[in-house]
Amino acid sequence: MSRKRTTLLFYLFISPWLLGFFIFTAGPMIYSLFISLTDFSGIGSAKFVGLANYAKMFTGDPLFWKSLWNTFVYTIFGVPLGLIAGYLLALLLNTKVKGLGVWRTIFYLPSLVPAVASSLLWLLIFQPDFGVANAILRWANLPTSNWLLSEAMSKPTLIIMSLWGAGGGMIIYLAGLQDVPTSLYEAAELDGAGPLRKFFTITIPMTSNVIFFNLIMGLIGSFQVFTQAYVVSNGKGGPNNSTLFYVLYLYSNAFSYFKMGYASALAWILFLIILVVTVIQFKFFGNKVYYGDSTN
Amino acid sequence: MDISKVPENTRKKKSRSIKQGRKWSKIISYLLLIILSVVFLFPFLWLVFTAVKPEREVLTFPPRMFPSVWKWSNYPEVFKLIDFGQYYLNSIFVSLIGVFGTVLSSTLVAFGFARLKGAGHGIWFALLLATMMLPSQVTMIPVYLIYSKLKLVNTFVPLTLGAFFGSAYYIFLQRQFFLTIPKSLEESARLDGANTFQIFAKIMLPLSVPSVITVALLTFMGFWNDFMNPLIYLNDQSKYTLALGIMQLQGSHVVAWGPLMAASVMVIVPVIITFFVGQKYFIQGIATTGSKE
Amino acid sequence: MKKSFGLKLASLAMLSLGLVAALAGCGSGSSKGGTTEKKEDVTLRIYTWNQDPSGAKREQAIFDEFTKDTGIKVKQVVAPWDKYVDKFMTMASSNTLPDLTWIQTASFATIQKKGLLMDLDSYVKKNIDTDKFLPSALKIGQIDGKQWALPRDMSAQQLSINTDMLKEAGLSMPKNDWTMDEFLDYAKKLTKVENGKTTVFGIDNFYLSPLLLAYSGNNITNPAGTKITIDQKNDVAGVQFASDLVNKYHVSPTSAQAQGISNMFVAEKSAMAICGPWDWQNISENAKFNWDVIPMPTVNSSSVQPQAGLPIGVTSQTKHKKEALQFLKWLSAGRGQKLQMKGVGSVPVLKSQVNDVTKTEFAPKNASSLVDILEHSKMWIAAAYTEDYAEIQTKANNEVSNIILKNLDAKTDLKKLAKSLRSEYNLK
Repeated sequence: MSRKRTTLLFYLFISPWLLGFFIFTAGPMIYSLFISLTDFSGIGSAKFVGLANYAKMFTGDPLFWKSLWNTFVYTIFGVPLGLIAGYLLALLLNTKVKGLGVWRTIFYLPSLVPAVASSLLWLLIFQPDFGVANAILRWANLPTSNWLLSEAMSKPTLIIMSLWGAGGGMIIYLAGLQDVPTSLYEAAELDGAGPLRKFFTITIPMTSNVIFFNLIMGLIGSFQVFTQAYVVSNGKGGPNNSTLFYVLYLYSNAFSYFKMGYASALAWILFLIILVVTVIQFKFFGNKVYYGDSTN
Repeated sequence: MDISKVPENTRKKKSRSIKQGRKWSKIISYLLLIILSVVFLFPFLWLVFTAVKPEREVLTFPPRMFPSVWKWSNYPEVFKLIDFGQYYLNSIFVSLIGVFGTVLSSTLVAFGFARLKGAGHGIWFALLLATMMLPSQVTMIPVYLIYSKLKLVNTFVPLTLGAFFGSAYYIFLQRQFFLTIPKSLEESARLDGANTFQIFAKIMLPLSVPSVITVALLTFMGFWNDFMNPLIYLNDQSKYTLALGIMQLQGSHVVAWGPLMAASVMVIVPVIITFFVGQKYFIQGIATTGSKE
Repeated sequence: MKKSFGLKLASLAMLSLGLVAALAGCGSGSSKGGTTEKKEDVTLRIYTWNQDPSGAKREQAIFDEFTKDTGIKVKQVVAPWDKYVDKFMTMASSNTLPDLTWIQTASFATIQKKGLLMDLDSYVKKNIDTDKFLPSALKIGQIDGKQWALPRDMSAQQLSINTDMLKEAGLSMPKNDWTMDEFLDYAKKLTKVENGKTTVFGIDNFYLSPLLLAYSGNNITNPAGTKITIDQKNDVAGVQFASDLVNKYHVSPTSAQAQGISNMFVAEKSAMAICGPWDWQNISENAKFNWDVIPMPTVNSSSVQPQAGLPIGVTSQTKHKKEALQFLKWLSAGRGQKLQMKGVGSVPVLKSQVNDVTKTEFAPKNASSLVDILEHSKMWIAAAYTEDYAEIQTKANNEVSNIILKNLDAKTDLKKLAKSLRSEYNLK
């Protein structure tokens, strides 16, 4: 085939995505940037207000900072914990245990449960008065908690809930762990390396690509946490705004208060935050990641 | 690749103490696995047993795992309390259209990226990967406003139309699979006179059944579990999907933990069936995206 | 070769486009009805809320009677209560509002000021005999003296009371004109504690608005909505009492104790609860005990009874103005009144029919006390009809929840709240 013809075919085949890119991504992004500079309720016409939305966000809206802080706390604790939990599970499953399929299924299934269903379930488990979580604590003579209804505990509780889904990461780590050539361990053993040294000099570096992938995707996902917070607080972000996460606040502005301009500005700031965080990760970890010998 | 097969350990000569240590670490491994399994399974069990508890027993303290009477009527009760059957049909409809659209568009686009190195290939591929990291909230409002202007709010169009334009994640997954198919097959077909489309439809697609199934299953779950889009776009309760529909049980006038959990069970079951049906492809597919960047 | 490839790709593209089009048609097909030409084909859409489909079905049965009377079809668009206004605005922005709408009183003025309701003033003057209505029934549909909606029903919030528990505690039914002190005494005596854990609360969550109405006759603002009143002496006392019920007397559940139980009264976890006639059927069908209703206790001479009522409006986006008005009249002043009372237990707004509510299937013994309030008591719908009232109410309710949750000093906290509300909404 000629180069020209290949190019033509290439564009034909990718045309659905290309069209979608312009209609659903690039075009709306520009539109969104424009809306963020206006005061617009969705009804009537938009009023141009320059950078007023951005100015209000940083100077006159305590809930913006609150939601940012909530999201930050949830991310800074939730993502590493999820990462570690998933990795430890994978390590455990990688010890040549019998019945791998069964164990794997047990740990993986919870991550597939629809967020609405799992949140409702946890709501019952963490019900302070007749929930089983407090019953177990009381039985063990430990202090009980109001969990999702406590301003201090609501975010930790959401993190605990998210750990139930750690099996999603586990599957990816497990595949990565099983791709590590056994010969490397054998060579290290001949050199007299102990299990800890093997872990830190072989296992971790050789699976750094999957860890990195999960870290990036985990952070992006965590910044966008919505459904759980919506379900457990009935869309309100309570108690006392302690589960008002960034996207929940954005959603409320757009679809409850109909402040489309302000919500668009919030969306752009979120985008910038995610962009910066992702770039930083690539800068710091990107060059330390082992990508294997795959040809692509 | 079948990851359940663990590479055989061929090393034979070991000192006695290492063997002893291995034995202990095995015991600890199993012990940990059992404890963790209990922890991971517990919420499931709680769900299943609450679903058949009389309301009174849900509200007593201390709570008990097993109901004294098995109240199976919680299940039919769900259909009385909310329009559960309608929501189920809506969810199935939206999910199936979504799966169809995604599979169709993702395979086409993935083939383009995997096999046709046309001018600009690199740039578009980089853009494709970049969109995976773009938070959907940036485009959510303008896209909503467009659908609103087109009077398509409160229809299933905004939930499903996007699927026909491909999704970066699934395009990427599908492309990775296409890359593993040897080029020689394609070349010999071309010698036999097949054109590019025929190669795509008659060689690549049949050979990538596993990845197509993976994409289909993952998409199905994605659409089935989707909460935010239905929340934004659906106004009329008769159009609700399950994720949105079961939320209503929470706020209803009648105390309904039993039926609520029964409804949750019924929402989860298709996901679990999907998982078991496609387990092999599924795990492999997810692992592929993660480990080969 | 080339050609066939192009053809195939084209047909594939067509196929997917066709599917998308079919999908679009499928999705929007059922919601059409706005552009019908022939008169006999008119389908009105009415926006309602309902938590359970059986409730929506009962409403539909009533609407179907209108179809029998007039040949005009009626389709419901149903949304949940707490998403009701959001979804209304969503539909408004895409110009797809239903022809008629139920109205939540707190946001009545919000949607009216946005121009989304039709002015009914001249229609009502010409076509409706306003003397037939109960005093203040028409008022719940008026903003600035003009009629923007007509009431479907009018009632008042009362307290439901578990009479079996009364008997068990050796108490008699309280008098209809009881005071808040007597109420507290009852609440204390009806609360049951076992092994340090409260098993029955005297009263389920006492909503803020009836308490404020009892203490001061205001509800965050004055009825005109021109003045923030929540930091005045009586209002502060009301909020403090709400907090004391939970934190001092322990006769009402904390949010933690109440979470996950949507109806403590029916679950026999509380002896009393706020109750309107719309709850009667639910309680009758689900309660396994005897119960009755009792008016809200009063505090002082400013006490006002919490009025409830459902205004129905015609939206400004309707294309069937005439039919919509005909339907509205049928619902508010016509045959619909009786049917709604029988079908869903709504209290008629017409003087001639209001007494019938005591004879409905689910009416408790003391239902006459409700009629008595409707005919004689000072009442307020507990929502000022101003554009910002819904927002003010949300903010105040959140702050009061916080006061109760953390057992804060009501006076200082409400001072702060009032100050910020005044400056944000430019009120006195």
